[in-house]
Amino acid sequence: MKKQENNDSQLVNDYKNGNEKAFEELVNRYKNKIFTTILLIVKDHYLAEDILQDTFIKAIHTIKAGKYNEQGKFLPWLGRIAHNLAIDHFRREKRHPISELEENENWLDNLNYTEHSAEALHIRKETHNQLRMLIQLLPEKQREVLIMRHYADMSFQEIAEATGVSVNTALGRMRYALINLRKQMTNNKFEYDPNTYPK
Amino acid sequence: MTPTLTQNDLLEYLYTEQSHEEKKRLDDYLAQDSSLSEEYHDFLSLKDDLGTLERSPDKAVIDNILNYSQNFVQA
Repeated sequence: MKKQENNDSQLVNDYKNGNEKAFEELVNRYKNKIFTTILLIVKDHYLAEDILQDTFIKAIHTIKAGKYNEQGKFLPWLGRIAHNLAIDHFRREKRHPISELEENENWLDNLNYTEHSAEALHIRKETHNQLRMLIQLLPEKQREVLIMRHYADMSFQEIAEATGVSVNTALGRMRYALINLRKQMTNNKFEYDPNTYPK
Repeated sequence: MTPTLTQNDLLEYLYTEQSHEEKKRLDDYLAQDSSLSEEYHDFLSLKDDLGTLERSPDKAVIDNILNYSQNFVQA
């Protein structure tokens, strides 16, 4: 089991007091979750890296200005920043994220596959590809809750507050997201068709 | 009277957002209800699959962030 040497609050506090190593620990601890949160929204590797930088820069400004006050909830806080910046990007561009899906089909190609068997590797890759496409095909509100809960590590209460719905609604959306993914994953006839993307 | 289990309870259990008492109640339900247990394990498996989608940014991007932090001077 991974040992958490310092909790997030302690690291944030240390960083606020000038300890850059504490910030490095926080970045390394959460860079993948935050990057994945952004990538699943924008579906473009380089754009996701730009937004990741903006996310951490916003965190740097807030913490160093002494304005961070979410003790013990660093990842959900960072996740909310990342989510908002990713969504803001599309509001500015006035286009829907799905428009970039086809031109960036290879955004998931660089996964680190550890299986030695070629067959296991192939199955794993197929599962990833299918799951990635199915996440994009989820209705927007279900996809939003799934990304916020699973990758940004926001609680259902926090998601409810961030999206302006009740906790039960957030839970219901998550449940339908999982049911829809499970249903499609077991459907052997599944084929990706961008025209079926739900509005 | 034992409170009725809702599907939302199962979701909170999956993402470990329940109190210790609630968790114990779900443990008991899952031990007694095979169809609920099956649904839970389906969700759990899917949750694991979602975890494998995690990606890493380029190291240079992380270096940029750390450099920015080191050189940042509060106005």
